[in-house]
Amino acid sequence: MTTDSSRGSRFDRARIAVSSTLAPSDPVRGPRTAVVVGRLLGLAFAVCFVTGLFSHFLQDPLSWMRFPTRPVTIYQITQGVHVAAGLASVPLLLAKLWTVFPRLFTWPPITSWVHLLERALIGVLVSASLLELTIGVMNIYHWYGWPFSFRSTHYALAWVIVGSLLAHIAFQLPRIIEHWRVRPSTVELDRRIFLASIFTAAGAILATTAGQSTKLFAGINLFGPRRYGEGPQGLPVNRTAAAAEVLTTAVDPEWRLDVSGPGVSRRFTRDELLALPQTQAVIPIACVEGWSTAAWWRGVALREVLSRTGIDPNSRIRVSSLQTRGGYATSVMGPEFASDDLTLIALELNGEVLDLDHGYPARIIAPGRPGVLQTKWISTIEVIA
Amino acid sequence: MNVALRTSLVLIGIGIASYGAFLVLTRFGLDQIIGLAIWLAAAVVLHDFVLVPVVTLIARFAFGQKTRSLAEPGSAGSGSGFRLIPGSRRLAITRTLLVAACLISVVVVPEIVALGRGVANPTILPGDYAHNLLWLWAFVVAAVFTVLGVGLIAARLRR
Repeated sequence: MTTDSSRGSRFDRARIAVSSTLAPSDPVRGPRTAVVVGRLLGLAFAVCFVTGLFSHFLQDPLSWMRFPTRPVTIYQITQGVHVAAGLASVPLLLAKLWTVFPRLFTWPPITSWVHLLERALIGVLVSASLLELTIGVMNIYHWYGWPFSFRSTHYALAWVIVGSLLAHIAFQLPRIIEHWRVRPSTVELDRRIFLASIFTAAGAILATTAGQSTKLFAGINLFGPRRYGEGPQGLPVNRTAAAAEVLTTAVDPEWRLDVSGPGVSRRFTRDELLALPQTQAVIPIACVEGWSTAAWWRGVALREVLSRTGIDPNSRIRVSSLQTRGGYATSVMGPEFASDDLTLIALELNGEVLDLDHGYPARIIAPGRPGVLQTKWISTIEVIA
Repeated sequence: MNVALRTSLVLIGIGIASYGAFLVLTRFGLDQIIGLAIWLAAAVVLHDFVLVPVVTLIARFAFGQKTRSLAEPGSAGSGSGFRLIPGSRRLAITRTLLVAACLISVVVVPEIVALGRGVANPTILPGDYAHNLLWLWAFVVAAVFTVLGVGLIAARLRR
């Protein structure tokens, strides 16, 4: 429909009204809308992918990998952004699929082998994207309803999505370029309303959930799955002492921290740890689920304990917990974390003795690491090859 | 557009996607692979053959075809390409609010269900999300009625 031919005439207005019932010429479903929504969704997916890779490799590093420990908020930021971008992708993905939905019924469905390939890849992209966002959202609500491993699936689907998205962009490149900039079109009120709805929803979801990761939005945290600073000693908890089954072992007066390296080992009581030089710092706990809260920690620097045991702090170490149930009972940290001044064996939190649910008698707190690696109720620290 | 460039991008994309499939096929047990396949298929079926048809019906019922006639082709001098006929701005606002509230609900309703299923400790899902969502809808409905009411009064006064 061109501007000139349709300007003003009653006939054309009638034609517009009729055509709105027929999807293919619906401007909401035109290529321009697909490009406007698609590039934002592509950006959100790219952000999710990069921040997701960062989080993945922090947890499962390749042997040569070293990670930044500053700023101490780095993981709080990257994972908060990961979850926020994922949540904002929900309306964007639904909108993107809405704009192209009639093309699902293109006739003839397949015109060539290349067309078959393109459509097959779109099928993969759509399916993987829908599931990726579904399980991502369910995961932050602790609704583990799927018959597969969340992390492995979320990670594998991410590669599937990025790959099929790249191919999709390559297939559609001429059309994307053609519609990258707005061109005057006669009737686009519906399109504007559609886009306004989508962006309003995405913005509102961001604004009403971001408060779980930053104090800035805490006042309007209507829908965040966590509240900033809410929990024992002002900090949310994922696994409680009861859930980890450490209620008796963690308060046992016989508790000792075993530190061992090649040919050396030493045991520390809690009082001995308290007698060592104490470090205090404000370091956030930042969960893979995107929530985080900054807290004031006090304890012994890990490097101090390693040095006093006769271990080079520039070592790769494994920390083990007293916990007998659940994942993440141990964590491994590379030398960049083990030797960092702010990697603490924390004994106090926000001015009080560490709460049992936060890892009493002692826990690890290190800058820039996912919360699942901030091992609680620690019992041994050992050097690994 | 350079065909060689696009072809290589497609091939690189297929390579990257294949790596994801490789991870699934090599690291997942058969049960998990079957479970994942079912969930992938279910996601598409629920979206394409349940969600979209239902939304299409609701949209047609709620917004109908008349919305298109809200815009008149722009006059020669107008840069925006269309000009709003009286009342359309109000309808634009109300439609935007209603659609946005539906999309927000898509994210929040599973949260309410998850909370209903029970949580492992009180710091998980600490909010009253059903309550908050009701307030959001109350705000949206109130705003819609206000805007439409103002529109009615304005139309009366014009007459």
